[in-house]
Amino acid sequence: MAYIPKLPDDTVNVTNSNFIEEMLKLVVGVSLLISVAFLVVTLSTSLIVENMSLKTEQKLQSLFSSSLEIDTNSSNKEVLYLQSIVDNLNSCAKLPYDITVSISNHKEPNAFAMMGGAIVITKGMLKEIQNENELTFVLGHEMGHFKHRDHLKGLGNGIIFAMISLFVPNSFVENILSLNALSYSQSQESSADIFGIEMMLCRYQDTIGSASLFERMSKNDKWSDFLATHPDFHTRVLEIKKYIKSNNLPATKESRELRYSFE
Amino acid sequence: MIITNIESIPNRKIVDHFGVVSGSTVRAKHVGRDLMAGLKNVFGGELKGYTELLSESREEAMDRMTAQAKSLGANAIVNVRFSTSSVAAGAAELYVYGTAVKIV
Amino acid sequence: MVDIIFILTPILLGYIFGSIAEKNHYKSIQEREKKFMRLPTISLKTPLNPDNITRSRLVVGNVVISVDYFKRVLAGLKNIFGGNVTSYETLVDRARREAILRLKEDAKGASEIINLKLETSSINKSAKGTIGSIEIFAYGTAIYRK
Repeated sequence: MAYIPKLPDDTVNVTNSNFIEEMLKLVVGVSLLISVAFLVVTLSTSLIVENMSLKTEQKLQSLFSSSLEIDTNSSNKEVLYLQSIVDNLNSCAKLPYDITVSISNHKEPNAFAMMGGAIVITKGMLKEIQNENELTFVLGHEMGHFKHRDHLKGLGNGIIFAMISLFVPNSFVENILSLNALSYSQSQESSADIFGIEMMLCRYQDTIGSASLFERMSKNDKWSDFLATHPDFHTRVLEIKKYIKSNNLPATKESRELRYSFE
Repeated sequence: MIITNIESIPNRKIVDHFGVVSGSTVRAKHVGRDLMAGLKNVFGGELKGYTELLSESREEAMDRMTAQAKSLGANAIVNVRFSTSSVAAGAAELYVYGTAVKIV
Repeated sequence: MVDIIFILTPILLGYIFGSIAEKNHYKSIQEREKKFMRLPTISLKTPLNPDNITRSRLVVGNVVISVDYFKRVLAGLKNIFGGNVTSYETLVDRARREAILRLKEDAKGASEIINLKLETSSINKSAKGTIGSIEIFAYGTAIYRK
């Protein structure tokens, strides 16, 4: 047996593909796929949630409210004042369940709407508010989340996206999902702002004080945490003013003073 | 001790055989090698630390197999085969086995 | 926006340095293959020529090679759609040829190497099971003649 020394063709095991082109195609393809999936999922959950009967919503909220341990008999004058505003707003919003409001000791300005019909507003936020109109707008905004059933939508979306992440454990996919999620939550916040304006009209028959809080806050720098899921303040101020102007809403009365200075 | 991975030793005759002998080691990598690996995972290229680690482990496994064969009175091991498996996160078992024989 | 820079930088670095390293490695591989062209290495179990054999011994060669970050991301995305993961082809090819070359270097002075066998194992950085690097181990019997 004779050995013939010759070098074989060494290109058979590698395909000379253009990797940059492949990468671009894949990135665009995956982004489109995930964004389309996102759209389909959010539309479906919106459809289901919006067509949910008031009775079902009531039942769901009552499931959560019992676990919140809200002290409804608080004799704190400040809390009662907030509650009176919220009750007044609920008579306009006509939600099928009671809304309770409480104050949190956190120094960062924030307000939450929680499952179970509870609004929590931080001391930090109350410090920034200068008149009752601004307070009403913040509370009205949170009521907007309840009216639009944003929590239920968030819950539904969250479950489905957790499943997607489970089946496609790719960090790029997760990035695209969270980008989409951020823009979705920002649009929810804008709708809640509009609802806040409607609440102002209901209580004061005027919209003064809707944008003034955000206008002040946009000049300050310390809200980066807040801004992640909300659109930035400049945009919100512009949107609010645009809504008021294009619908010819009144903005003439004087703002009402706060009954208590929240210090 | 002559070690080959063919079934016989060329030009020698097998007179006795003692059955299968084997040697194994379980090695874990240490943090230092891991850091280099982290960098190399971005830039690509040979992970020399790991290469050495696995090469030394195999040598040690072969030494253990040789010791076992010697204890039986063999002077060669034929038909040697290797096997690698991961047993825990960051640890691999290297296993080598062959047939211990006496040749003349 | 800053996050995108954090994601893109290792991908870009990986692409640039990885391509350079790969090119250099292939050059070295081709040179050494030419050098060792006269040393027969076969997977048959019997020597080509049974005469004049003085001794034989086990020879080994191994290498662990990692692929760059760009190719890894590419493979991860390809995983979603399926198909040939071409970005890893060069990894396996290089590693295999390198291991065999090291085996040939271990067999200095041999006339031939028979019963060549190869073993592949993956070494992952335990990050979601992505294969980052592989080890290829080559072994065979070197035959020495007078």
